[in-house]
Amino acid sequence: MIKMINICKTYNKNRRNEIKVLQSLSLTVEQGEMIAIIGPSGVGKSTLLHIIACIDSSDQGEYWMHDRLISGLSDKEYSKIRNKHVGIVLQDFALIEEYTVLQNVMTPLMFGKRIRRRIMKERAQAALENVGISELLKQHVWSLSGGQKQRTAIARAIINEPKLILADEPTGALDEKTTDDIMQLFTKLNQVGHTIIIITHDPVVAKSCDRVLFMRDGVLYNEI
Amino acid sequence: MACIKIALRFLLKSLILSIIMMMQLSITIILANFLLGKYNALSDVLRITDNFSGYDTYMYMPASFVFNSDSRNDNLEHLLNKYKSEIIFEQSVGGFYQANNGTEYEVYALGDTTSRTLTDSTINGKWYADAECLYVPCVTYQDHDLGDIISLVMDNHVIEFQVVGTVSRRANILKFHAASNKPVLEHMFANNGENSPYSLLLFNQADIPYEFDIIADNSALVYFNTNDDVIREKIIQEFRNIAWFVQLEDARIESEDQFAIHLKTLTPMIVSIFLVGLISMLCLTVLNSIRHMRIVSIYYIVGMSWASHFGSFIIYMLLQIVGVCLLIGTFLFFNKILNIIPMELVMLNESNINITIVITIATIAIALLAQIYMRKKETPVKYIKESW
Repeated sequence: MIKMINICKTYNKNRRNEIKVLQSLSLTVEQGEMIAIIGPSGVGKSTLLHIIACIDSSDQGEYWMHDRLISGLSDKEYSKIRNKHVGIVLQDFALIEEYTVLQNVMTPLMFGKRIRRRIMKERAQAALENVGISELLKQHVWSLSGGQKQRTAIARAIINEPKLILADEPTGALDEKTTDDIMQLFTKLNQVGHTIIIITHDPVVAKSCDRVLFMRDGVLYNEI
Repeated sequence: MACIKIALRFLLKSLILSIIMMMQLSITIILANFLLGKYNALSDVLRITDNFSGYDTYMYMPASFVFNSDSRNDNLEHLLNKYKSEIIFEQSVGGFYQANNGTEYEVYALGDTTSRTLTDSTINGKWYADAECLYVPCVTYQDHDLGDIISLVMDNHVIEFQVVGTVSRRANILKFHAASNKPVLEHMFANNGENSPYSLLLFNQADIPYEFDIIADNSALVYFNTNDDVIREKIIQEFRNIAWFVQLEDARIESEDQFAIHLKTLTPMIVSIFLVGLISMLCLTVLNSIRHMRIVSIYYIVGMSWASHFGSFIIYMLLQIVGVCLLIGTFLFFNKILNIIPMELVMLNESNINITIVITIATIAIALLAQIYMRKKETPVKYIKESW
């Protein structure tokens, strides 16, 4: 599903504070896999995730998704991929606090093909049912618990039914019990066909995945 | 469509800040227009002296606080009889009359030569063109149509006027500054703005076959018919003995000096209002940009493109311009009722519209550049990396 060959990324190029974050990194992810990427802080895990998510682009190397070369595409194409083919979940939830759960979940639908509001609502409701918080759709995000917020973020990530879900420390801000619940949810999504890549520090989270990759100095070294 | 939705969301999310930005731009535009209107009013009077080029003109002002009025009037009469063939003495006369429909008119009857000097630069429409012979040709403000008939009862005579021309809002006719000890020019109808209860009506004295009892203007124009310099000097000297008698060119020079003094006050005011407007817009835009960064980044993650992001910002700015237009419209509406600042000065005439466009474009350009700079400095990618 994903093939990355010799991906390089450098920040502050040609400056004194130049940092080579990713160095000839290669990665292959098959459809339906659930992968954890672990490693110390600052080794480039999030940068890798951003490149996979088309939030950022690599300086060198090839990135293929569904046999399509992604590297070098336009901003518009990148935004289409972010909208249609990738769901992103972040540690900080990245939700709009003053909006309701429903409004937050419907946000990706604003940027895709134009669809009727009724259908948007139906799809959002279906996504919320999938993550088990359909009763909260009218609540404002600021009134939710951390676990509920993360479920909302996951519902938003799956509303366009992307094949790939990327999560950057999705349980970093949650307690043990909620972490378990969220990981069960990811496992459930994986079982229905979503490919999931999780960046984490938490060994418990890593354990729930099919494959664990270890990252250091911008390179994926080991498969545990 | 997404751009419009996002722009509306931005507007609603920071409604107070947006309103402050709109108010700030509206105030800048209104104040700049007001000051520019003042500048125009001052400079217009200098421009109208061009109409008199080709006429050997002097201005006469019977300053009552310098000369005894009785003896002055006698002397004036004597001089006018004495130099009947050498000079044309024209004093505008005016008064207030009510038409049949209840409209109050401030009526000015101008001398024939003065009327002829005032064409083109002062008047829009036709000036003293042939009216149907039943009517007296007159010129009014633009709220009348050419051909309209106005009936006024003046000294028990019903006079029917026909509108043959319309004057611009600031109809400029030369006169002395009534309270000045210098021969400074000003325009006669500066106060006949939109808020004046009187509609202006000008006509040629010669078109009414009798004299009527209305107030003479305190200044008069004197046109020389003679080329004999000795007689000319003699006449000038004799006039100067009874009142102020100033060559138009001298009055113009004095006016220019006065204008320069006004300009010294006006210019820093206009410049500082413009700068304050720009700087505050810059600060507010940056503040707004920071406020929106989180939402922009969230939209970016879920599929908003960079182009849509800028599109939404452009629409957001356009919405603000619509808001500014509404605010200015509201202000002008209430200003008409409350008369906060004189309408004839705020009036968006041609040069004011130009400056309004310049101010608006400059402010929007600054806001846009600030946005581009902010977006380059703080991209969604950077924000996501640093914040999440």
